[in-house]
Amino acid sequence: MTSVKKYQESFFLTIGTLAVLSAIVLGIGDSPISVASVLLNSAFGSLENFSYTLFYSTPILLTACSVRLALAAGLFNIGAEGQMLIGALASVAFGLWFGPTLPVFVVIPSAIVFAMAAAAFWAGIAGWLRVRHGIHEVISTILLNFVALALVNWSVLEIFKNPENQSLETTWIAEGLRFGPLWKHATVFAPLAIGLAVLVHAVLTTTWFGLRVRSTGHNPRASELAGIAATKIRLKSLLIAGAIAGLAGVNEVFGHAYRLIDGFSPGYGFIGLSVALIARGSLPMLIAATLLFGALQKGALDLDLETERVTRDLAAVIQAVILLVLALQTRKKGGASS
Amino acid sequence: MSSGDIGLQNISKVFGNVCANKSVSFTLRSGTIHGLVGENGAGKSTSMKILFGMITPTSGHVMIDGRPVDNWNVRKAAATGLGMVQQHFHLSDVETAHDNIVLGSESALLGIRNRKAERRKIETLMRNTGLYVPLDQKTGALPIGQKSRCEILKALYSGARRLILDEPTSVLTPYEVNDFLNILKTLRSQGHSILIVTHKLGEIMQVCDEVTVLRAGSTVAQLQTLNTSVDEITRLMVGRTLTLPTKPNHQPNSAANVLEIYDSKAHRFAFTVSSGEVVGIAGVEGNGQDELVGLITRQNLKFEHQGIGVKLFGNELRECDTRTVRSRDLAIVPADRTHDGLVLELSAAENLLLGKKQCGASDFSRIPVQTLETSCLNQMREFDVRPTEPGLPVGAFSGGNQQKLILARELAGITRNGFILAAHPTRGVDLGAIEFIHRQLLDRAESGAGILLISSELSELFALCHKIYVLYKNELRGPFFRDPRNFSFDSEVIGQAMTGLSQKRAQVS
Repeated sequence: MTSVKKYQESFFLTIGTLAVLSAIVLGIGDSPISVASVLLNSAFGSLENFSYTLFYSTPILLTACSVRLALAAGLFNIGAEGQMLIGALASVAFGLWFGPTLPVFVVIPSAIVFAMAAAAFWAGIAGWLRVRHGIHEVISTILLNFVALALVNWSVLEIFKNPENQSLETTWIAEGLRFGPLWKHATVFAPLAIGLAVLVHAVLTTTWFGLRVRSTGHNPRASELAGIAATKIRLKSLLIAGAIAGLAGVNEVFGHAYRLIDGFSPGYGFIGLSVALIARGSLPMLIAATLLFGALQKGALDLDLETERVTRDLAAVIQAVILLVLALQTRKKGGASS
Repeated sequence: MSSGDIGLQNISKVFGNVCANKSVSFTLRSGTIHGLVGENGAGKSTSMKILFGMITPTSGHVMIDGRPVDNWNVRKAAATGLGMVQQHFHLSDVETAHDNIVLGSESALLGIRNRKAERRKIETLMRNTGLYVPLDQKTGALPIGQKSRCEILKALYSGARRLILDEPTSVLTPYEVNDFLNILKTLRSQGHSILIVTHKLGEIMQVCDEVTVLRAGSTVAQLQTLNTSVDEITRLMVGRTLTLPTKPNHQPNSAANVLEIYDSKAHRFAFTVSSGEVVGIAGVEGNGQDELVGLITRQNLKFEHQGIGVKLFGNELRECDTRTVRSRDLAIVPADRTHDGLVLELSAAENLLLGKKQCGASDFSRIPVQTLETSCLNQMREFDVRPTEPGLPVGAFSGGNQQKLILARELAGITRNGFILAAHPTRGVDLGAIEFIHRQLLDRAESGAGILLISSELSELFALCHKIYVLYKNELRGPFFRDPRNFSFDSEVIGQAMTGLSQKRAQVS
């Protein structure tokens, strides 16, 4: 396809997407223009608002990196959500257990390592089931998400429950362990996530490991025959992917809430999944799609307050329409893989 | 052009940026057998599909009885008695041969089939043509030769008087091929016209009245087979004179064993490949070739469970996995290049790197792109891979060039005295590329490499091998050697072994 045609097509798809969304908003009984202006203003209207968008984008980018890495190895990591939850649980556990006794400069790095290791372990269960018993990771990671959710639920209630509070959340971690926001609402993990996205991309595209991962992802049989330990590569990729998703949990506990609130995630793992699928291996697209979905998360909050009839659920509708349109585009190209 | 003739006139067909046909013309005369030959990408399939109405040409005409027809399509083609038999069978394996033959042209009164009438019609057809198949068997259980008969019966049953056959003999044994060509002659004597698309020129000379040669999307000649020769057709197809090797010109060093296959239980499945030797494995596909390759690459251990073992350079492979075998001095050209040999989505350069020993280097060190790009470029030039673009995804290369890429990668990874396992190294590859690949293999053998060549093309085995074994139903027959008088193999004896007609192999201790 020539590039002119490609841009033409993208242009028409964008117009089409906007038209469909406008029709939906009109159908609900609001003005598309006012809804759009609420969304835009809420996400990018001020530095304050933008920092909120960055705040929502951070875990999305981390889980997106996780999914992207696994996807490059040919694995569909639907479990980023669960791995993130396990990462959050491990962070808060480590913080509460060792925070009071050990010095801060020991606790923080060890907590991060512990959380990443726990999340990697969680992903590793799916990896082990896949390579040892041939159980597809799509099934196992979905199921492990529920187990992780239940585990967090139970731990918050039974082990780390904050006695001073009625709501479902753990005790706060020691003040010295709190990272505090980096810039307004954005956490220190925002630049870290971007750095990690660049790093993951660079590893995949320029190193021997990356070549082996991509080769395995596209054609495990040929890779195996060429002398690549495809099974090990897949397992390694999934472990690293889990560790990266775990960082999203660390971000929540140490960077923002300073405790584990049950149900803190609006589905970051799944949004990250969408982002990785949209980006299809392109770094700029990964960042752009992350910002788009982060902005929708932030904008959704104000939809409840500032529009007549449209609620925050519209953000989910918008995400769905975007994904459907992109699926349509991929299908037309003959279903090229990531 | 007279009544009953069909053909194409000045056909061109453009797909996107690719011009599949530039100017194709030929005439299939009534009651004749016509060969359509050309290299891969010469436009054979496209022309054939245009004639059958599956593709609409960009310009030019389909000619029926000497007149151009408009809006040609499959339905009209079928109505004028055209029938097509595709290279890959389109039979439902779970239905009987009877049902498969009738499928698509069944007639029913009030939805009730008259099986007896169907059966009478099929039996008449079988008697007239000599195409006998067991009608009540499921086609899935039939041997390949029977399946191809089924396909032809199916076309005839639907009333076809003109048949288009796409590579009909590519999966048949030599014995079955002869049988098949005789059936074509019978059909011709009954007034059928047949267009046969093939790359086997010997068969063209044997049965065709005329032959049309395509090159780069254009007809270069339509010839009477009586007035031409295989050499002339080859030259027209390739555009230059080919000098294909006909036999290895060196003696192997029988003292140095490169590969040893032994059979600890029955002592039947045993042979060795020594340094400088090219050992051929003939046989119809599916008779144990995959298992033999899998035994050496450690990906299919069926033979090992039957007590068959491998020693490579004297080392037992029993405990090895694919990766450790790969670290030996061994090149593998797999049978299925797109599934087992290459990663189509990766670039040519990246594919050339896959087998490299550096792949075992530190995981997270950077690939030195600059130096590798130059070495990749050199490799591509040396192996005549076109286009010479290391950055192009391998899926964008033609089959022959993909095969050359595999060969470039694999041969670069071994020393002079290494071992080469080559399975169907020239399948679906142009004559020019075949010439190149055969020369490369013989050069390697001459400088000391041991080669195990698995192929279903007897001509290939005859051109390269010192000795040939035949695989039939997972059993080894042979070895067969060249006749010391004329240095050629006895194709009749080998052909018989391929169909299981010869005696089982005597025990080797």
